[in-house]
Amino acid sequence: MKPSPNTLPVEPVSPDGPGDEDRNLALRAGKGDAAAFGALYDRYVEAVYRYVFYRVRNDADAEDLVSDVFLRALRAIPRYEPRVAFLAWLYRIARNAVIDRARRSRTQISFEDALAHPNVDQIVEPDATILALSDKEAVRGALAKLTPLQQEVIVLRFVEGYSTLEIANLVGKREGTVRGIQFRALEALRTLIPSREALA
Amino acid sequence: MNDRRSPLLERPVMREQFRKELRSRLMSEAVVAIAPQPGRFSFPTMLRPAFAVAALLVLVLAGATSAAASSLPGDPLYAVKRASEDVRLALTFDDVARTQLLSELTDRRLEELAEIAKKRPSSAPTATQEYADAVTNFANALDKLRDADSEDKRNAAQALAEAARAKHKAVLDEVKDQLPADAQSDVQKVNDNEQERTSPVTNPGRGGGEGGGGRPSNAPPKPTPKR
Repeated sequence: MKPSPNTLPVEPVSPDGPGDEDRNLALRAGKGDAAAFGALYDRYVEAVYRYVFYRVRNDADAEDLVSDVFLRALRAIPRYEPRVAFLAWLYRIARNAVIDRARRSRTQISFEDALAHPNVDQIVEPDATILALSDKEAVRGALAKLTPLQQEVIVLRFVEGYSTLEIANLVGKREGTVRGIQFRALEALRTLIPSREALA
Repeated sequence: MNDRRSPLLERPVMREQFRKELRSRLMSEAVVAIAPQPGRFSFPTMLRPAFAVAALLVLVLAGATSAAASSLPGDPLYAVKRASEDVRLALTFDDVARTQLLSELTDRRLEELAEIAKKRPSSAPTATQEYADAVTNFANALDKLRDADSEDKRNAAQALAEAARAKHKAVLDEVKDQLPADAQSDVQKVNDNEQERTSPVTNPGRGGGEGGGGRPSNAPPKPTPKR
């Protein structure tokens, strides 16, 4: 596999993260402590931005979505349940925001049913280097045509660097299911992203 | 969770300006969205069911009291109506306010009597007795007020007595003919008693009783008020 084009330091945020500290901040925020909410914002705004970035058409849409996510989180924080890791809770809000936006634009095409569903035990991860070799606008355009769950798995896996088990915990699916979704998403992307050879 | 990998896709970075603007917007919104409400009171979780039951009882009682308000002597809910009046009386400690309330209750008994005359003349004796009891209570309260040291209280007693006397005579004159013959005489007796007991008392020593007239000459002499 070719090296990652990413030039930034790799600091993936764990869904388990600094759990207790997050929970305490979230509980304080829920009781009206705006500074605690500000601290959570500072900690996770970049993660949310990365989460939504490849799932919309342009940077402005990504910023709109980030605003939407944090405004929703602000209104929902009094009802936050500390049993759930804060980042998982925040991703859930982000997921709903992305889905709501996709429903409004109705641009994505589902490859979930179009592709064969292999037995998850037999899944061999498809070559994902096409993502590394493509520019982000091409990836973004292709991702926009996947289902929200496929988009989410691809972003969490290939932008945030989570393991499939961590993604399974975040999205509330079995690890095998996540691997299946990832497989089908990569297969779809290979058909949607033109290869450099073809473009040359 | 040990197969975390380096990101394959470029990790986008958000504009610093946007990050700052959104933070400042969120902090402004937080003041409204999550700031604690100063007047908000929250029952302890364990007590919520008890408060819910209490609230339900209050609603039921309020509904029953509301339904009882239009009941007449002889109705099943009439006792509820009278009980709520007794509670009001028991909680009224000022002499003038208490006399005012007794005057209102006497009005109410008379209104009931008028309703009974129209709808259910057979219940007239019960209603008449209720009216007589109300007159007695009102007159006793008036006597107490007339004996008060405060001139204001004595004047208030006089005003209440005059208003009640005029009103009740007019109402009784109107409804008396609609009552059964035997009830008519009873009502008349009660009203005569009321007219007598609420008439101004000539008491030069107190300086009250403006309006003149005094008690009817055939009325029994009122005992000298206690000082």
